Amino acid sequence: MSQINIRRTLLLLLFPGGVFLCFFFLAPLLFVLVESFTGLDGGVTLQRYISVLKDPQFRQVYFRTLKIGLIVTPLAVLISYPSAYVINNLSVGRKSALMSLVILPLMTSPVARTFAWIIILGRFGLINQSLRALRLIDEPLRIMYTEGAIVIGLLQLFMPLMVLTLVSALENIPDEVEEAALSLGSGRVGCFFRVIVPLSFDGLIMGVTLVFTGCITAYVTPAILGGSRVLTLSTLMRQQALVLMNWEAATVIAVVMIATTLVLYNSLRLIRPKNL
Amino acid sequence: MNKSLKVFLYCIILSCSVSLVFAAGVEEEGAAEAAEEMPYKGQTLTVSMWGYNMDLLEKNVLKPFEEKYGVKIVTETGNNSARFTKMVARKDNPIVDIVLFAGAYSYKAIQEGIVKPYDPGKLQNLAEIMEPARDPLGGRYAIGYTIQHLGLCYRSDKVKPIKSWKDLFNEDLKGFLSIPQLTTTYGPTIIYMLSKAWGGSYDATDVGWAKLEELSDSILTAYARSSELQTLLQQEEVYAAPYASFAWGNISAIGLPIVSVIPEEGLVGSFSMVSIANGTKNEDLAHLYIDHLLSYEVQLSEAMDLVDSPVRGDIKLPEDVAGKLTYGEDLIRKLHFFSQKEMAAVEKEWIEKWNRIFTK
Repeated sequence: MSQINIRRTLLLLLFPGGVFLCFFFLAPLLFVLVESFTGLDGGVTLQRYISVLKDPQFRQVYFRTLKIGLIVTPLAVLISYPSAYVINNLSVGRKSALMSLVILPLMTSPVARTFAWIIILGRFGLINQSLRALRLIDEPLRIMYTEGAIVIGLLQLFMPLMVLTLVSALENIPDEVEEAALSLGSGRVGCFFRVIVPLSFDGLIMGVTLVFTGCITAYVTPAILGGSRVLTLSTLMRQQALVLMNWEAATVIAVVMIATTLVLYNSLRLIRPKNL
Repeated sequence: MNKSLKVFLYCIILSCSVSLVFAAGVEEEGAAEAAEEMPYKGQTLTVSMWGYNMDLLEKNVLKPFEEKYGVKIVTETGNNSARFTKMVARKDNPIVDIVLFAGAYSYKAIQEGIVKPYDPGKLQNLAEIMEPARDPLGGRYAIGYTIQHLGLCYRSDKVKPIKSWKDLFNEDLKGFLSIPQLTTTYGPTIIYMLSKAWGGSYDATDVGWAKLEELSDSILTAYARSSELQTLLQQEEVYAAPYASFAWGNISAIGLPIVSVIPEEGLVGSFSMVSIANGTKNEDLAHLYIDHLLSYEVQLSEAMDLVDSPVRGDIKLPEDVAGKLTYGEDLIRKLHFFSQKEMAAVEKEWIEKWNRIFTK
């Protein structure tokens, strides 16, 4: 097949997905972006940004959301990396069995999952009952309707994404690489940090981006587990759009969410090891 | 064949022919009558409504209407804000014919021009309902098809009895109290009731807000929907809360010793309202639906199933059912209805205040 034919076939294959993304992702995104810079008179303005960013309440909610994302994401990496490493080194049968277990939480509705958390984290929930049975506490701990509850809920919600991306990144590393490192005198731990992690860095960036984006845009989990006390960017955006009909502020919040994710994604790419 | 047999056969043939012609005539007449009775047969009516108690609404309201008029009802369910936003977005090409909203959103719907006035001449049952429900927002844009109130409830085995809104500040309720979120139907009325309790008047809202800030330490979380309050009570996360009367059937069914009280300051009353969507192509059918909603049969069956309290004056309920609803002259006299216009005017400012208090 000639070079031109290959290019034509590739373009044809990309066409359906490209058209779908243009209509249902890029166009609405562009619309939100343009809208956020449009003044009441139809001209270009920064007024919407100024009034939203000047609001101390928005800043408080923004930094809280950022904080939750920055707690959940490293925790997801810490918990998922060893699991992904072990899963990748298993036989095909065991690997697919464990992968199914990892995917299982993604197959339940987020609403059902979050309500299950109420039963687990509640005053008479599993955690408090266990701690009381072990005589570690006298009075039940208040876990529900705190930032802690949101962190737990989001970690459970997005950990499978991190595991999946890391396993697929680790699968691409040939077994010989690890064997070579070990035969050249590297210890297991050294090999993991100096060989495996750098070689799976792209998967790590993808996992971190997915989890962090999920954390700062999640709605159901913060709304149910955080209650009225812990407002996050998405719950604030809903309030502005659906209750106050303040679409101006809602579009700015949406753009700020996207910009935050892009900044994180590109910063991670900058620290990516250069020789990969 | 003898003559008498011939006559007998002629008579048989003649009577059969006459009966056939008569039967055909009756059949045609019957078909014409049926067509006259069901002129909307095969049409579809889209109703935007809440999904709470949907099985009972299906049984008491939707199915009987479909059977009576031979039409199909398509429901669009969701909370007030989501359904309102959809209707505003589809303002130029509406698909909803009938919409059920809480008072605040009915008011917003009028302001946005997504509902139109009803024709009282097309509603036979309108004269049968209580006067304030016939046109609660003015301009004949909405009808209160059910009445509700905001009461207080508490766990009689866990906390001291509650008689007033002031009792929500009791020490034993710290961390065990829930209230409706400000953005819900009864949210703003919390401020008014605290103002009345501590400042002596509904207008003393500065006092109400100061008291809410004080009370916020006792509040575990503010609930967004009645089903959430039900879960909080069931899981024993909260011991007391102001509750919307339409949820009492479900709350009392939890099986815990939860007591309902009429506080000293009185009760907040409200109507759930029905309106005709602007731009509907089924205006006559929409009027028939509203009339159906206000009919004796629907109002009675909804009340008996503890779904909606009746607005008709001729509904007589047994004592055990009546006690669980917003029913009876004595109770209705104690209700205070707040102006939707006034609440809409302060909405933005109040949400900001609320967020400041609760996201500290």
